[in-house]
Amino acid sequence: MTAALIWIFLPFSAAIGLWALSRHPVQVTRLATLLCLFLAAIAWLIPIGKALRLGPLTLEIQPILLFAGRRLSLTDADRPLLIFFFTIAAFWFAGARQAGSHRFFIPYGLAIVSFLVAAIAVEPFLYSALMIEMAVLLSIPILFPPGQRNVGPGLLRYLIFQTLAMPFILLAGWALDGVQANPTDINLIALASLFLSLGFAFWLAIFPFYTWVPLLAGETHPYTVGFLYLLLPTTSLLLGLEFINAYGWLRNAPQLYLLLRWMGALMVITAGIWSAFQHNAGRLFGYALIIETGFSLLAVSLNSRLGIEIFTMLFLPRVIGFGLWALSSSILLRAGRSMEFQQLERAAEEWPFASTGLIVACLSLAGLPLLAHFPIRLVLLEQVARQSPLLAVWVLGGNIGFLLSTFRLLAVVTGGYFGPRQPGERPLQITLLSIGALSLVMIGLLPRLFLPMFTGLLSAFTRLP
Amino acid sequence: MTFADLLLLPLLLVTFSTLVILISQNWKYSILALALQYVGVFWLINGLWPLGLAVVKLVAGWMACAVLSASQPAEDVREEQTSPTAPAFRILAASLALALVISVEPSVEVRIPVNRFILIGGLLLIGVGWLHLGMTTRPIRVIIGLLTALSGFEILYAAVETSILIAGLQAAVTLGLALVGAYLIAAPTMEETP
Repeated sequence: MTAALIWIFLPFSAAIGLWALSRHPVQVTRLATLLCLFLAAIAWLIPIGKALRLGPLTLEIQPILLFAGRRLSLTDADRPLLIFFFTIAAFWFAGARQAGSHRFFIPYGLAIVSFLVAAIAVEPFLYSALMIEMAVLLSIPILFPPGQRNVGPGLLRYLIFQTLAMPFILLAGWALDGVQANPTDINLIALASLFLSLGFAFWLAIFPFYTWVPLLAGETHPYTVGFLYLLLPTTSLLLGLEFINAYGWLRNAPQLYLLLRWMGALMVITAGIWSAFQHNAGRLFGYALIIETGFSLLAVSLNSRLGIEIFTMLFLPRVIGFGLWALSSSILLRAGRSMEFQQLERAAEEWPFASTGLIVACLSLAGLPLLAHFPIRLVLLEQVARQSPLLAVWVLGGNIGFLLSTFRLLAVVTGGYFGPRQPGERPLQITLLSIGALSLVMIGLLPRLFLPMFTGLLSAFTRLP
Repeated sequence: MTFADLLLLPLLLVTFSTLVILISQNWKYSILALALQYVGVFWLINGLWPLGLAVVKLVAGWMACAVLSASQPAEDVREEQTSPTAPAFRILAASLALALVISVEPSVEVRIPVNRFILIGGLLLIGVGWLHLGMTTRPIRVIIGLLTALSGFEILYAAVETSILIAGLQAAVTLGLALVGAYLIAAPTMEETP
């Protein structure tokens, strides 16, 4: 049995089966969550490419599957990535019913996860552009479910920008092959860099191509948007690291790190400033994603082992922060409120747990001390300040813009008198929200215990510092 | 002289069809022009690839056109009212795109040494496709713009890569985009069953 069959073709086939069963949402939720937990568990327990003896039986998962002349390769070093993807999927699918997401969310979500794993696995990895495009096309029905009235500009821009990334990455693959054959051709290096930069700028919604991010977050269901905003940029960031890992000339180019530093800083600064003027909690989440991507780019731009470790340590607070934000917003949305600040006024009276979840998630994403994002952002800013003190101050300023907006949201949801009322949330929703909020506090209090959990992801990138 | 040698004809076909797509406000004409455009794309790619492989582009493109036209409502063929000067403005914008394409083509030819008509055809489709994307907010138009831009890219990419798998996956993306377009048009009228 090959790894690609287990972690790509099995979830994709299951997605088709679950789509057929989508009118039974309870069973679909259970099956999808259990399948993702099972896939994460076998990635954790069974080594790839090594024989495992279970009594008389010998079990071996082959790392490579030949498919139409190309290789789908998932090696032992990719196991942390597989655990990461399928745990996130399980976490998200488990809360889907409580969040009131559409019945198509789980089948399409599972198919998207399998395409994203294929994007990581496919060799040569320029084919990953086509896999990500497939995942983007599959995401449209869950972002714009049947029965919804108007197609928003955010959705169309998302489709346009993500689709335009594909040709640039494919052309970058061709140019990079040329550079490998002729490393002294300066013009070809410049061309490869240009294609690569544009491709990743479209994929990761890097400044100035990020206008769709807050728009889409404001016009679609928060749970779906949270899922996609977590998985798509993470896959693109990991593919970006793979490019840097694979090509020596790229890895050793100081201009790359300078470009990443400026792009990352610009994203944090501009998104922070725009978020300070926001009146919609959905769009605020879009800006949070831009800021998170900006911090990830800043971490890679450090060009050091610590920088790459910071890059992976940013994942855990992001997963929990986005998850809590998405669940809280979905519960408030189900209660008949929109994400406009006006509609959220005094929401904490009726929905205390959902409002607390929303605020704690936003405060953590804003990097408030004692919450999960703070310790790692502090280390990152210290490192950036060593290389460029003024830039670190500007980045901090951008972060403060987001924090101001979060304080405004806090004033809106808590404004007014709090009498003794029955909370509107269901017991399971209260439990999930409480776990999320407490996790963010615990990670903030004990960062050394939790944050290094994802550094295992780096085992796939052997040539990075 | 073979079918693949007459490359000026598909270039003219591609130029004409992109202009119709850009100007027309009637979805029937737009999709017809898109189908014609795929004939030009197939013809240009046939100058680089064997016929059997190049025909994949034509089949996928025509299937995409069929999917898009099947999803359109029967009535209301005219999409939106525009000012009488709009077509003139669009022709002017397309002319500027063509001028830009002709000016950058020699430098592209240095990197991708193939027939210049093929390069001009590819670059023109990319340019006009992008122009189209910048001028519209209607789902059907966005999909047509994306298909146009991707067709142009496919012509350029065919000059540097001959892979059956890539051709197949690109055809899948073309069909996927058409299906997404059809879905975006039909979804508001579909039954809401959360």
